[in-house]
Amino acid sequence: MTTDSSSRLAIETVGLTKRFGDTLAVDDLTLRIPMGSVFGFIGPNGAGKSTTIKMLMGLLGKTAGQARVLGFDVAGRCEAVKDRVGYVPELHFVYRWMRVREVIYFCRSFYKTWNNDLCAELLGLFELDEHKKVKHLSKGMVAKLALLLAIAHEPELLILDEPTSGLDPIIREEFLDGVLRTICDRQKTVLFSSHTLSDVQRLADAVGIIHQGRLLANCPTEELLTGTKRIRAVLPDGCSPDKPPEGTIWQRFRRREWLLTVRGFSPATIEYLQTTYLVENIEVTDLGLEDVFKDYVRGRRASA
Amino acid sequence: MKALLWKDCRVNLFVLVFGIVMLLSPFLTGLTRDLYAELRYGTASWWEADGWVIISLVSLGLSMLTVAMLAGNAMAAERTDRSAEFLAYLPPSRRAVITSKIILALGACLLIWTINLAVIYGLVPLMPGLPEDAYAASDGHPTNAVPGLASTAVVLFGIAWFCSSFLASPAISTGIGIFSPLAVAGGLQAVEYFFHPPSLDFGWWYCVICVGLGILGFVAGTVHYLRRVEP
Repeated sequence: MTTDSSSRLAIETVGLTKRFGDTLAVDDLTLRIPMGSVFGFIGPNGAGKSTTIKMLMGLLGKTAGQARVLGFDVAGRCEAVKDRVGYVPELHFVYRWMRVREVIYFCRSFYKTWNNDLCAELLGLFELDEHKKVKHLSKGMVAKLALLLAIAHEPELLILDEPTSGLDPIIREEFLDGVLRTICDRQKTVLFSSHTLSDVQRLADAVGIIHQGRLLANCPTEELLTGTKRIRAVLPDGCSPDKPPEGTIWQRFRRREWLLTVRGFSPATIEYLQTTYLVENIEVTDLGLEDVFKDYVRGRRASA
Repeated sequence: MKALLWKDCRVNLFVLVFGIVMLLSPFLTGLTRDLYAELRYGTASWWEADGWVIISLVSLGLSMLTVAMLAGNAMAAERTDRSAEFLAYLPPSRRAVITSKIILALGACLLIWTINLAVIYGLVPLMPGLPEDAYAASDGHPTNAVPGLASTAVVLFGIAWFCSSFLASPAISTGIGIFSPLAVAGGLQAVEYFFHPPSLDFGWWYCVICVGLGILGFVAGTVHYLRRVEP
């Protein structure tokens, strides 16, 4: 059954947990991705991104918690989910012996919503030779074929799991153009996991940062970038920073220089530092998504 | 379903071609032999009924490998090259995927057996010169090997199918399948050796255990494949 609240959410997980023996790959993950949004899912290697995505696609069983995709419980209605979702994995295992046109024929037969015109358009756009065998395609061309297969049935949700890893910049650009076309032309919901944070910053309107299976941040990209600042403060001699301001996600103190990254930055943060530590010099700089991500992960590692 | 069947035929293309060769090679050998004898000496025994029965039994024996390979390949082959992961995120249900595999593997095995049994019990009795009591139970007649061969095929198929449902190597699945009738025969020999049962009908028990294990393996493999989440 699809409830009113969950039908407006493309993805909803509550306490989603996955354990491989003693290793906790995903730890109590609660995530809500509304319909029509582009969600960037970022984290270091082994953070649990792919595991989460595989659980959402019903390719991996969960240890605990719940996961609903497009209102369907993935544990029970996997086929209904796969019918409505386009998925591009990190590694492509399309049948290598098939020709491109055979792969298309094979996949087309499973989708009622397959759009032949769109498929032909994407074949042209991606310059894919229909007569070539998959095993004769380059890695980039296979990635583009996987994207074509994911998009051509006009899914309600597109899930991309590090789809551009290992691709050269030109292919990556063409791939992202394909994704952008889908988002812009058809107002699709996209879950996009990547290590290329410039891509995520370019595409995503909300970002989730995951580390060691736990979600560290989940908010709109704009809010994350405008609200997170790097502060460089020079403290008086003999002063040690024992009480960082609220929202500090990472800090480093060397000699008298105190570097902090603060989430939810406001003028009150500066005021707090000046009144508490009699700071001699203070500088505030903006951060890109890459720096924010690094500081979240470094801060988490330091506190662990 | 049509697309899944097409895909399964292509995945098992080598095994199917191998199966056709194993099925037909004894017949072709027999025909070649007779053709050579006819052309060279004019003494071909074209209508020697018992010869055709033996050729069919050899064909069934050679096809055991095909039976084991079809079952061993069924699920494990796509795990080896990880194309099972590709199939897993496409919409067809597990039920549809396994139905296609069952149709292909079981269908090909049944076809092999139907052709050979049609020769033994359909074509040969029509041939002139066959004794009237040729198929009566007598220890010496080659058709007595049919139940043993059939139960061997059942256990080969069932055990290889079961292994294929969770292993990632079709070679290992097939190998275990091929080993299974030897294990049954060895087990029975061991029972006879150690416990000396007063009247152990080896052949009867072999058939019963092989058929039982084969059916159990097939059912367990199918249920396991349907229930497992991972491809």
